[in-house]
Amino acid sequence: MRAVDDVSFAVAPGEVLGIAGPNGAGKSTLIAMLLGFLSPDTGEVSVDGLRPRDYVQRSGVAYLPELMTLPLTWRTDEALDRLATLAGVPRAERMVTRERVIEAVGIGEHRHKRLKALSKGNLQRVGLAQALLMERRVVVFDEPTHGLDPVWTTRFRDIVASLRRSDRAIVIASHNLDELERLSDRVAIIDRGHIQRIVAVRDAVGDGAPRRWHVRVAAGFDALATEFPGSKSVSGVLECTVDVAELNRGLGAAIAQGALITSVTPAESSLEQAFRTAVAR
Amino acid sequence: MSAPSPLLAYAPWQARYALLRAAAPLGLFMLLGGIPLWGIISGVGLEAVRQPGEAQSAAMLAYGQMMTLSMTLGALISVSGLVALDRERQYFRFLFSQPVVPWQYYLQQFVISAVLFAAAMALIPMGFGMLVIDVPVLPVVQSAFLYVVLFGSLALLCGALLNKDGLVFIAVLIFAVTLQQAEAAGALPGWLAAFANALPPFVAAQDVRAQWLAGQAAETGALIRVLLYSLGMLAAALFIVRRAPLAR
Repeated sequence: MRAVDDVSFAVAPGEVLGIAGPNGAGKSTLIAMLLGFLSPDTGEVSVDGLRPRDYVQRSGVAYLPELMTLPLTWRTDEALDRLATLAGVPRAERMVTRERVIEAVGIGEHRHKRLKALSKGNLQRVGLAQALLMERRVVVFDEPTHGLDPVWTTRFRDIVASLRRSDRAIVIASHNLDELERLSDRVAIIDRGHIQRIVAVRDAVGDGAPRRWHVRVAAGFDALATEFPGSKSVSGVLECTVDVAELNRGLGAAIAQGALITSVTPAESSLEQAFRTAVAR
Repeated sequence: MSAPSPLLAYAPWQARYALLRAAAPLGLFMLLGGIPLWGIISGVGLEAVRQPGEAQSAAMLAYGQMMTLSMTLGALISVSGLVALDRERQYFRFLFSQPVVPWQYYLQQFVISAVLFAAAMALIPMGFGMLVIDVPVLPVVQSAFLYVVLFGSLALLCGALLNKDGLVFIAVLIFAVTLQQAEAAGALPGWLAAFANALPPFVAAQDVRAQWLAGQAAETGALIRVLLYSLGMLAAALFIVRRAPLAR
């Protein structure tokens, strides 16, 4: 059985690439190949021109696996010290580095606890901390917000934003489309081992394709409805399906007639739409 | 002076792992083996054991059994599961996303575990010497090192190939020892004798150990065979670690 087949994509320095797909789609297999933990039967994977394993052995990769599989008898600070040592953090800088990442992910109160005493979310934060130990040019996160609470999910987005650098490539595999849409430049949608589509998230809204929009008004609903024939009212919110240019024209005309627009939001994200189409069975 | 490589800097953590791994079973075997000795001393008194005679002979016998038990099982436990456990529990994902070469990592862990095990085994003759009668320490350390290298390289090879390395190791050990003992007794046909000799040389290692512990020089051919066979298995294990996918 092939976990992934006929897959081709590239991640450029400075880019954040998301990998989306349902469970069992092949996301983790792709990442294992990217890190050289698995080799493709045919074809080629290269990182900075090298075989993945050669690249990792030479430069290391900031990697957060899907499952936090460090020995649970290790203490938090011990785990970070060990991995900092292997990561090549000089002895004199190890403690400072450890405390920096502990601070960054807010696990100070857990630094002396054994990993088995930590909650799932805190374990995930330890995993994130170890990925931040060194400045790497390749960053790979596999289901990074798995187990994180909403506060730390938001903080994680800030951390990823701070990791963006012109010479750094970041790959994030997740089944959370909202997360990928917020963090990524492009998202590869994978299903049944194939890349079904690669969506340029930043450009998707302005790509000219009609989308469903929800428009709320404080006044002038009728004027708005007139500008969007075929639209419908859902609980006082106008729902229309138009492209961005037509949306702007209609809104402008409605405002000129006295409509007070309070919000315009996509009924579903461009990524959700693309995902639904790509994995339709 | 330049900083040590990340792998060398990690050696103290590997030493700690080796000590924790070996300490409990080694302590247990020493305790189990020590119970008969304690019984003898309780029965006849320490002075009687220290004098040549039946009590001392019995104490020496208990010492020999404790040594065999600790050396055989301790060698197996201290180096088994190195590769298989990391793979099965997925520790490798954290270890080998760092700039570390896996086969070098396992070679360093193997060497550290083997040296520490051999050194720890010195505690048995030293303790026995303080309590009962002086016995040579060096042959014990030599024997322990030979055992841990032979057992460890086979365990590493099994672990590089399979996840259930412990079971396979035990099966190979029992099979090889049985065949090789039969071969030594001249009870096997030619082809089976050749096959027995092609298996890991456990009986040859036993013979070398017995010669060393008896204060004799080891038979050079047997010693070289055990060492070369061990190095061959070690090299094969490291080659597999280098070539085979880490995630299986």
